[in-house]
Amino acid sequence: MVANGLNSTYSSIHPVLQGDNPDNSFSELPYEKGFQTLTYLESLVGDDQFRLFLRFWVQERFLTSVTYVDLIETWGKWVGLNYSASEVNSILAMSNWNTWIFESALPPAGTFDFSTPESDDARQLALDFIALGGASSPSNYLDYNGFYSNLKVIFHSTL
Amino acid sequence: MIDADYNVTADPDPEVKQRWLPIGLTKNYDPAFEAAHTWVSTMGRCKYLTSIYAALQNSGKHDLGVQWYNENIDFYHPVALSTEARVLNISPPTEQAVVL
Repeated sequence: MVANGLNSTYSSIHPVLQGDNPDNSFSELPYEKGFQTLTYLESLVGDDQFRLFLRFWVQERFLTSVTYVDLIETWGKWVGLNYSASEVNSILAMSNWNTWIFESALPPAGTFDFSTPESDDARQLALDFIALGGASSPSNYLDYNGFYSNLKVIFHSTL
Repeated sequence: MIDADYNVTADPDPEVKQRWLPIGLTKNYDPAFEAAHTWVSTMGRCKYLTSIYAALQNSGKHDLGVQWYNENIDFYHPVALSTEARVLNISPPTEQAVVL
């Protein structure tokens, strides 16, 4: 996002090409911010309820082409069918689609903590290598061989 | 040290290559050059190509990047040619010159 510039629509999940080569808008951003958007919605209703929404979403929209407008509509419909009036108002007000879809800013600080013990270990192993400066390997260096791909990514991104 | 422990340069995982090889190129780690050269000559995905060409461009190895790019002009998709030309700050080949 910082590379795109925080004022660029390429830093939102609704990039506006304005004649640009579509490939230029490509980055990990739609994956990461899209996933964070869904995680945020999940946080409003809880894991079990959100799973029911996902089922509803598929049932409502299968065999169709969809856009974010359909997602917003379906979310509103599902919330309306499953919550009291005051809960509906609260959930829909907090859904905050405009921010999540159109704004280029980073998610509010403290919204998420995606760290896990495993991701912390992968990051720390890389830091330990750096601290040793090539003189030797950390005593637990073999842990790397048990890392799955995403943990290796964290390790190498930390170097 | 890390490569000796893990043989990272030979890791087939592109997500690892995307991060490891640019470090090697930037730090002038010899084994990374052949591995990166082979990699950019055997796949054409911009996500991965850009990591390599940007590392070359940003570490004073522009000419090597252009050499690898030119070797693969007939291999890359026109979109990749355009994207990586921008990374290397060169002009992409004209449409007539590309063998499609």
